[in-house]
Amino acid sequence: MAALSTALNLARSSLATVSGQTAVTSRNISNVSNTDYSRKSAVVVSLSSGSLAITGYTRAADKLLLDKLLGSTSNSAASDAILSGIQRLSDTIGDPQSQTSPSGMLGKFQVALQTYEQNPADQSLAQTAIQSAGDLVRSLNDATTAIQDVRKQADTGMSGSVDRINNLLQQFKVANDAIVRGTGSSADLTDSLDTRDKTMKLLSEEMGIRAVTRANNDVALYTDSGVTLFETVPRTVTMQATTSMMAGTSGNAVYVDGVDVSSPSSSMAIRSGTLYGLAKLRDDVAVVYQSQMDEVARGLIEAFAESDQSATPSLADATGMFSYSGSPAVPASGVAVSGLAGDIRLNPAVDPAQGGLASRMRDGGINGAAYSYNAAGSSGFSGRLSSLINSLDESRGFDPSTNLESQGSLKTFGSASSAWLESLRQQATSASDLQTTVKTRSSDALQRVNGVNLDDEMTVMLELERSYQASAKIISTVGSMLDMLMQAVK
Amino acid sequence: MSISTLTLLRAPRQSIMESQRQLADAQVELSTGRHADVGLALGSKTANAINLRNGLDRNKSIIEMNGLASTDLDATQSALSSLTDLAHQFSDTLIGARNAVNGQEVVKAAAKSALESLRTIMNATNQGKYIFAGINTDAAPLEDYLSAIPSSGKTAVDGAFLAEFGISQTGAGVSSITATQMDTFLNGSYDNLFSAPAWSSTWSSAADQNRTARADTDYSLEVSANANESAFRDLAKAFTMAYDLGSGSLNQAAFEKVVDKAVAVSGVATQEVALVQGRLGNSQKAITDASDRLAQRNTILTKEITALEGVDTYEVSTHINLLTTQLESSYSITARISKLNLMNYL
Repeated sequence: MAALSTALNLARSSLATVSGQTAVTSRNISNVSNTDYSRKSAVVVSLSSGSLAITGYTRAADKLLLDKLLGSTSNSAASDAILSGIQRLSDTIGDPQSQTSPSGMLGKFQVALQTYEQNPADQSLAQTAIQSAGDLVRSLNDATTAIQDVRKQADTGMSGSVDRINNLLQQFKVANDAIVRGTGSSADLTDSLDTRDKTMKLLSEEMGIRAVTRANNDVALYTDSGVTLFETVPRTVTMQATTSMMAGTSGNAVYVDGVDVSSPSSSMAIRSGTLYGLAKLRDDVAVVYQSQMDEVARGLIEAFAESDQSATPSLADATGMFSYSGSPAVPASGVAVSGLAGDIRLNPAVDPAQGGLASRMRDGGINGAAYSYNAAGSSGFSGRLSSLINSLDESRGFDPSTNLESQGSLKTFGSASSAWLESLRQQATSASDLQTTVKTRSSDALQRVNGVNLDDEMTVMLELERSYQASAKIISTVGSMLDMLMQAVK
Repeated sequence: MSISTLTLLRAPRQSIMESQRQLADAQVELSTGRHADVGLALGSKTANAINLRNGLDRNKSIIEMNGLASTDLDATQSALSSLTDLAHQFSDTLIGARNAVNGQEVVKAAAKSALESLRTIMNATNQGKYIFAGINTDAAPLEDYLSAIPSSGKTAVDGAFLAEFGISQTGAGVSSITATQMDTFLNGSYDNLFSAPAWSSTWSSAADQNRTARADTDYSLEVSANANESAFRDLAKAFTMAYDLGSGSLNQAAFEKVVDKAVAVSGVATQEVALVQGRLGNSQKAITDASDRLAQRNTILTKEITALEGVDTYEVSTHINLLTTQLESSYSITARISKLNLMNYL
């Protein structure tokens, strides 16, 4: 009699366990397409009475694989951020065939000058050369706008990223607190663990992080450079967005817990993540490219400057066909002037559209009679034009801060700048491809460990079904046995 | 070790996407024969592509300009030939008329027509430029000596004649001018009228500086003659002296002096014209040579550009075949994997 009721109890506990396990399986199945979900299983324990009970839940996880995924996510996010910025910058170059790069525009301008040189009396040829010069100036102005747009967007992206980081750290705290509190109890912490992992994955997209697990499954987060990001409580990440980004404006640094983590000069600078990529774009790549454009503009102003043609020259050289806000002073040779590419203008004195005379290209004298190369006003005079054309091919000095060869012609300097950017794009593209592949691989590896296999779950479900059937059968059998016993007693 | 269903289903996704991207690029490459993204494919070699294209464009424009310069030179050469013919004809007429009965009238008439022809030839234009004007291309080099309103040249000659002999060319005492007096005048004050600085201020509005043209990227050469060169001054000197130093009323001895001098000067001028022709001929040759050289260079540049930016279309089409096959098998595997589910067998 006692044995029968024991059997009944055991069967009942078995039913409870099986339905608990079924709930877990069904949870697994419903999350089959959730990449942030890790497969759960119920911990089933045989009690001393012989009955079964679910004492807790575990999830499939692998700390090493997760760390690897976090690292590759950061790297991939960084290279993607850099690549997308460089791609926008390389729009200023275009296909070499269309010659829209600064150097290509220089070439076109030189050809237009050459045509004018052949027939200096022809005003329509002068007009064409002026137009070509205008196109060149516009391309430099547009490049500056594009570069500063990229910097501005990077700056906005960085401040957005900082907001997301702060937000994620708050979420991280909630999940982490729940875990620390619940560890040691029988509470189901698996969902909190999943949330915490997911938050880390999202954080690693923004910046490179390192997670250190401590007592009570508490996790502390550090940036990849070692600055504390979260320890019991989140640290504040701050960045002041720059409202108007211009050439020469340096964006503000990102501070974690008061430590500069974005300036390349900082010893605690982060090395991966979107934030890193955007900072590199804003403070390095775009700045260098801008200085190259500035040098092209400065070279152009220098090459077309006029010098005193008097028998005994006494006046300083003055800006000619190309001017800027500091005209008529010619900028010092070999020193980049920040933002000059955005400032360079076609001198109104040579632009018929602004009331100037196109023939001043041929004669000089933009800055007064002393600067006239063709005092007699001969319509067929081509000497000045020849020297202007040649000046585009003459070697001149450039600022070494442009990361390019500091000696060369304006045209080769321009094409070297395009090559510099395209080479960066090539590297960034292959880096991005590589990092994406690495990220996919590590994500796959983690998925293999903690992902849900539908077939597996179905098999488990079959087992559970059998087990449930058996337990139910036992209950009904014991029930009928007890019934028979009751009948006999009656 | 199990595999998650999600990973299994997603496995072909990455490779399908990659293959499709490559296929799109390969199609562009096949139709253009160039890399789909030239800048990306070339990287740091982009500078070469840009420089090569700049060079190609520049050479093309120089070749075109050389063509224009050649037509200028051709026009100049043919004008110079006409001048030589004119000088020969003039000399022949003068020599024939020297001792003829109405020689003075014949000489005057011949000199008048020669002066007219000289002005027409020297004021010839090509492509909107006065070809003998040097760099002062928008002004006709010579004034009309024969115009009703006396030109500054005519005024200068009249003045010099009056100063020398005290009478005008049509004056009554012209016949009494001796051969010696005429010789002194011709080699003295008359000659000075045609010397370099006086010529430019009275006769010619041309510039001394000849037009230059860029024959190649790195050198320019002279492509014009100008009316201030001695050849043209001498021609004007010879024609004017025969026309306007009293021909018609001179005594025979003085007339012979004028004719002999005119023939001599015209002979010198012919030789000088030949020198100008030779000089411009050299320029013509240099320009043609430069154009040929540039054309050859362009052939090489075009080849280099193709080598740099171009793709092997045979390889691309093979690649397309491979990609298509790959995609097809990826599709069929995806379809089969998605059907592979335990549920279908339960």
